[in-house]
Formats: sequence, structure tokens, C-alpha cells
Amino acid sequence: MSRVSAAVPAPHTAAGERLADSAVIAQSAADPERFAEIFDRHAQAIHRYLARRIGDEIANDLVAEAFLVAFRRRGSYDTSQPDSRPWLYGIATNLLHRKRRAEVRQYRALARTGVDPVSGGDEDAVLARVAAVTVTRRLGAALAALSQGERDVLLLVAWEELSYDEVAQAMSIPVGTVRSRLHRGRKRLRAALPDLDPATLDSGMELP
Amino acid sequence: MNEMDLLREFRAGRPATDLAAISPARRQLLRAAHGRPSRTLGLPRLRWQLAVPGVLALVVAAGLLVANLPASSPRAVPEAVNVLRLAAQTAGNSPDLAPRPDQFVFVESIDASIDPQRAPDGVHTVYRPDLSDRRIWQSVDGTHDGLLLTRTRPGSTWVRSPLPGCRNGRMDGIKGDQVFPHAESCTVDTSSVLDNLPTSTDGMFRYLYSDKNGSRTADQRAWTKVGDLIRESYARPAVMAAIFSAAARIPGVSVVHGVTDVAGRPGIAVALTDLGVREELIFDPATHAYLGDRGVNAEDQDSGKKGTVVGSSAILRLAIADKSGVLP
Repeated sequence: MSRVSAAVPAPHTAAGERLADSAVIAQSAADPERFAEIFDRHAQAIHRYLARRIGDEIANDLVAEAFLVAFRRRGSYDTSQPDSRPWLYGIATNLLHRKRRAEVRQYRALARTGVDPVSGGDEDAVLARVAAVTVTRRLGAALAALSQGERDVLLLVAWEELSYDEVAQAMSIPVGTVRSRLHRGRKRLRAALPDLDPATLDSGMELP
Repeated sequence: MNEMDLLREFRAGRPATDLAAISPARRQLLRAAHGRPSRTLGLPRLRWQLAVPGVLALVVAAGLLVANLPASSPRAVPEAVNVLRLAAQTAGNSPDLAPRPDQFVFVESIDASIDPQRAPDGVHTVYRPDLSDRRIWQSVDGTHDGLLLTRTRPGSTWVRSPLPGCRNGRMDGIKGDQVFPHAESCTVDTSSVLDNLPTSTDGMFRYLYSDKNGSRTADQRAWTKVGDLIRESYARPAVMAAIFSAAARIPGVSVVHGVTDVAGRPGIAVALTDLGVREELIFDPATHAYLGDRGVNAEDQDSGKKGTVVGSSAILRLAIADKSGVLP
């Protein structure tokens, strides 16, 4: 659900299969406009990820910047990687680091008030059902207390469903570091949410 | 339910990103890809390049004019050459409005812009016609604060978008209704007046072809450049004449008769097909004054069948204004 597939027809090879991102990026070296195809494939997902972390307004700016950075760096893209999503998530996440204080401030505001500055409208109905003002407040506090690296890894895995390898590639860190950050991050979350037990959460919720 | 499940649910109810939210980012990217400096706040102009089939294309329920044009022909058909030469003559004989640096280029137009939106199913994209009135004041020397007013038809209120001037490398940042003085870096944009451009046909022709190669042919790029240059800007008579006479040399340009522009005016168009869209420049059939442009699907696309008008704009008035926001 975190990935929104582009409704835009992708260029195809003569055989009819969609060109890999790496091939499109390679073409964009000689033909810069081809890079718009990468945007059309992934910008919505990258934007949603950014907006979910930091709110729409900053996300609008960051998504533009992320694709400009990607465009400028297209020459150094590792074309052995067919899927450019990890690369794009990495660029977007690194840009997000500049907004670290704003992001953390929002988690803290949630922890303090129970109102999530990033949410808006009718959402989080599930969490609302989960009796969860307290739970979300604690979650906000826990997210604020994580290290930046832990937060990146946790959210890329939980929200964007990146594999450990993809997170490693995105953040230019060894897979072992991904595992250890994830492990530590999860431990901290569990510590902050002591009564995470199906029995105490809403019974109306479908459990995996 | 464990902590990862909880995290997955956290902020999960946020709606999918609307294409409208990221379209400025796409514009910036395309500008960079075209070697143009990106404007931090931008967008007075909708560029032709955005009319990429299936990506951004809008259906204006207007004339379904389908002309059978050759995909490309070795040179502009004589009739097209003729129309463009007459247009060059008309432009060259127009009075020079001689704008001062402290003034504004004012353009009033109707814009049928492109509005791909997420369908109610949350997956597909639908194309909605969107007709709007535009009034824009662009600083001649780029240092004064300009303004863009847009109004979606029918009859909604004007929406103001400030176009901050760039002074000493800084300009005001705008977020919603808030103004942050000198918050952003900038470069001075003087593109509202075309005067430091070649006035000879040869020189302008070289200028039109000066961009780097791409997947589109050099001719298509040159044609796009013609449209981008004259859209919502004021060209000195000699420059405008050179643009049209140089455009007459672009191979493959053809004529479309019996065109009606988005303001309902009859016109004669010269056109080049690019990325499945026939990009037309429309002229008054009697005076050959420039009226505006249209993009028409040259083949069936997501945005509509062949013959669908996918974007157009009609210039109603171009004048020099003393003050931003005040009709000249």
C-alpha cells in the first residue's frame, strides 16, 4: 500500500517488456529528457514516503530536490542495479536529514499532544480504533528518541517495504549494519510500548 | 501485532500522492533536463514539453480537428512557409512597445491546462479538462515583484500567485499566504522581454537549434523552442519577425486550416508533430497576428483519441503595465 504504481505507460523494448530503470538512466546520459521516465515511475512513491515522514509541504520541495540531485548524478548510477528505487530512496532520505529537527519536533508534538502534525484529515482510522491515542503518543516519543539511522532503516522497511539489501544499497551501509539498526530500533520501540499485546489492543483489528 | 505492525499502521491513512502535488517537481526536472536554470518558485509558463503523451495531457472538449498530416516531410510545405513569412512581416511591422526596466509585461490569456488526476479507484489516472483565465505581470528587468492571477472557469475567484523579483541574488520565499522576505536565492529572470536575441533569420535559426541532442529530433526541439519563446513573453518586433522567419525553415512544418482557438477565434495554424502531439501555432487568418497555440493528439493516447485537443492557450491581450496587479 505504500507503493503507488504509476499509471503512465512505460516505454517497452521491441519484445514488449518494460525497460529496466537502469536502461532508462543509461539512455538519459545522452538524452536528458529520458530521465522524466524515472520520475514518472517513482516520484509518487517517493513523495508519499517523504510526506509521511515530514508532511506534505516540505515533501513537495524535497521530492523536487531529490529528483534534481538524482538527475545530476545519473552519470554515476550503478547500472548493474535494474531497479532505481533504493538509489532514489537513499537520495530522498539523505535530503530528509537536513530536516531532521523538523521531523523530530513533529514526533515530539505528537507525543506531547496526541495530535499528529503530519496526519491530516480522516486518516489513521485504524490506529484510532486501536484505542490508540496513548499508543501513538508513545510511538511518537519512541520515534523521536531513535537515532537518525535507526529511524531511516525502520521506516524504509516498514513503510516502503524495502528489503535489507535494498536499504543497505539506499543508505550505502553494509547489510549487517541494516540488521543491527533494525534490531536496536525495534527493541527501543518495544521498550516504549510495553503493553503491545493483542489483548490490550482493539479486538476489532485483524491480526496477522 | 508487534511493533513493526504498529509502525506500518502509523500514518498509513495518508492519501496517495496526487499528481498535482508533484507536477512542479516534474517541471523543475524537465527544466534541468533542458539545461534551463530551475526557478525556485516558478511556473508562469506551462511548457510544451509537458504535453508528453500519457503523462500530462488534457482533454479540452473542443474541436476534433483531424488532419492527415505526414509524419514528417523533408521540408516545410510551401503553404506553411508562406503563413510564417506573413506572420514575420506582421510582427516586424508592429510598433515596438519599448518597455522600461521598471515596467511589467502584462499578458491576459485563456489557458486550457492539463490536469491528470487520480481516479476514484485510487489507481488509474483520469484526465480532466481545466479551463482557466490568466493574467500575468512579469517584471521586465526581473527585479520587481510580479503577479500571476488565475481563475478556473466557470466564474471562480482569482487566485494570486506572487512572482517575487530577484534583488542581489535573493528573493522572497512564498509558502501559502506567508511571505518570507529574502528567504531564497535566485537568478534574475528577464525572459519576459525577448530583446537580446538574434534579429536575423540565420542567427535565429542557429539559436533555435542550439540545444543539445535528445531523443526528439533537432527539428522538434527547435519547434518547441519557438513556442516556448513566444508564450507569455514580449518579443521586440525584429526578434519576433526573426523567430517566425526562422521557424519557416524548420523541416516538416505543415499547415492546418479551419482551426478554432480556445477563445473561439478562427485561425490558421502551422504545426509540427512531436511525441504524438501536433503542436500548433495559431495565427489570425487575415492579419497573421499570433493568437496562441494548441496541442492536438496525432494518434490515440491515454489523454484522448486522435484529434483530441490536449492543451491550448489563447492570448487575448499583451501590453506593458506600470504596476504589478494593475490592468494596463
